[in-house]
Amino acid sequence: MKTRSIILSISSILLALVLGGFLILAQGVNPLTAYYHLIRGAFGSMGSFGETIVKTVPLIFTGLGVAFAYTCGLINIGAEGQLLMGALGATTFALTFSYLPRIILFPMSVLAAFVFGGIWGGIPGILKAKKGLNEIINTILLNYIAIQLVSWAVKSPLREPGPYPQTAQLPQTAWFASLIPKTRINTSILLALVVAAIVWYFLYHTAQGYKMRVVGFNRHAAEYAGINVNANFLWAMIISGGLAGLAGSVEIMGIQHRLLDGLASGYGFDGIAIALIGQTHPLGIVITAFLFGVLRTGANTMQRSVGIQTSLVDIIQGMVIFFVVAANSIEWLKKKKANKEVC
Amino acid sequence: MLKMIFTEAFMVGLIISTIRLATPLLYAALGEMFSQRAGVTNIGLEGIMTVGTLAGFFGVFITGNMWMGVLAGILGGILANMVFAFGAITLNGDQTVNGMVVNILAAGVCTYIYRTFFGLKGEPTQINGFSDFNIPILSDIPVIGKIFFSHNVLVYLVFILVPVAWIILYKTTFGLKLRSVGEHPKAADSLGINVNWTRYLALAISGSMAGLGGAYLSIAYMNKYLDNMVAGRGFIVLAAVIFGKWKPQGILGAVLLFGFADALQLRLQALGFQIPYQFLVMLPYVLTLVALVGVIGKTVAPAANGQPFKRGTR
Repeated sequence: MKTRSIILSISSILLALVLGGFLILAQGVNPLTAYYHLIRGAFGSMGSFGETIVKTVPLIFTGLGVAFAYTCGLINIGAEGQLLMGALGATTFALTFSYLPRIILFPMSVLAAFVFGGIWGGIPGILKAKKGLNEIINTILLNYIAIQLVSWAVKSPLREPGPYPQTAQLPQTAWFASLIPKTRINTSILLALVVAAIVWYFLYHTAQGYKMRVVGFNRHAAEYAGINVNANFLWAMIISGGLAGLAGSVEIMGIQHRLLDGLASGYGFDGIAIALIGQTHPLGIVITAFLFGVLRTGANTMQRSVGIQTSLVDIIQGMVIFFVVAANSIEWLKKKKANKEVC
Repeated sequence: MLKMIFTEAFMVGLIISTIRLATPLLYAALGEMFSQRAGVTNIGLEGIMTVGTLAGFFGVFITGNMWMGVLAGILGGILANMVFAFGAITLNGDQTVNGMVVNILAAGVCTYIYRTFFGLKGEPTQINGFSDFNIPILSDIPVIGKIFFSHNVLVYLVFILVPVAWIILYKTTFGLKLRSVGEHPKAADSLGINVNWTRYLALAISGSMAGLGGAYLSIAYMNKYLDNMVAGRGFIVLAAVIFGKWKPQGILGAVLLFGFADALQLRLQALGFQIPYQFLVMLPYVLTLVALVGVIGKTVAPAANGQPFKRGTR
């Protein structure tokens, strides 16, 4: 990660927190008090710290997913739908093959989530590669299709008998094991960190990853260099979708233990913000996802204690990504000017 | 079961709500058509519409005048779209990314403002919005009158705007400039057309239309403001523009189809049918996807749509 981008992201976050502070001040509350309660809500007890981590884990996966496609020059707005399909995949597999021993059932359920998410990302990927269709609009369309598919699945074919539209509980052999007692922290955080490391190694230390970055940097140059651009588009979207699908598996196998309607809404869209603020680098994404986890968890306490609404956090997030994006653009404009002077 | 559907009351009700549900989509889609014809795809439409709902609501709430709500919705939409325009045009940033910024910011800001004034809980505040206006004589025609001539003014207005949009796009110099900027910005630039200025104008149009479409929801459809009341319509609009092949008449057809699927789904659910209504909700998206793959070739879309214009680059 370049030092410049780190400084840029951190100063964007600080600036947004300061501006958010003014909004708090306008409500007649001391910003430091409000932020104190926010921090307390995220770290105050083992339980609240657990919730912060629980919120962080799926965000790491969706952030990685969006960033993976972005590195290859593609914009994946479909993490939300890919997450849901991943959740559907993990649930379907775990419930269908519940008799299998844990050593097979658990990894295969995670894999099912990756595959389902990967298919959902692969559809716009193949349309991009074969037909040159814009992946942005297709990923948006597939979000809505996924939402309705899951809604139908939990209300009809997978519904457990009973009053609620939800599936039966997954067998315990398909659960992520608890990591810290009395919290909801489970081994999914380890999976997230390992996957982040793998993505980092792949993108920055393998030939294939290098090719993907070249395609993202300049697809025409990549073509001249003999890199199969379309194949890279397709694989980038499949893996991107798969990563977002893993977010679905950790929600299902780590937290909810069953599929229900309206699961985890917003993680996919937050993933876009996280990927950008984290400068699409896996380490940056892990850190940013944690920051988002802190803000989301702490905001509730802040609202209860000093009456500052949770939507302030949305504004702060929006400002951060606005600053990061604007600063990147300004950087680009400056470079262009510098080039002109040289010419 | 079919007997319940094929009644006059059901059919008439279905068509009426199709028109009402298509109206906000049509406003925003006609605006987005101008934007995309000038080469700017705005993923932030959802956020722009959200700002429109809030601005429209406050316009009516403060002044008690519905037309002030319309004005506020339009101004709010333009203002919000200028944030996007600044990032996407002046700073030459990625259009999609800047669109997402607008979505995230708008959702946060609107909820924050509303809750600051009306508190965290409690029933949403009702306002006196537009009521139905029966067009004299025409509304007395049996069936047809009820379907087409008993709506609120904003519904009539949007259908008038369809031919107006067509004329602006195809029969005015501005429309020609707009299209040339979307097809080949470099050529337009070399002819002395100010590409960025034209795109700003297009975004002002799309901002006002999306803002008005949003305001329709809060001051004519529901008469209150709810968090997330745009509920994905901004994204449906993007699909409608593509499905309508970037033409006013096509977009009209697309939003009516999308509105129909939505209306049918709501009504079948209300009747308690045990059918998987989810597939009906899904229909507009699937159709758009199929249309993209099959019918619409690459040639139909404005050639430079989605690309920032960087003067002096190749």
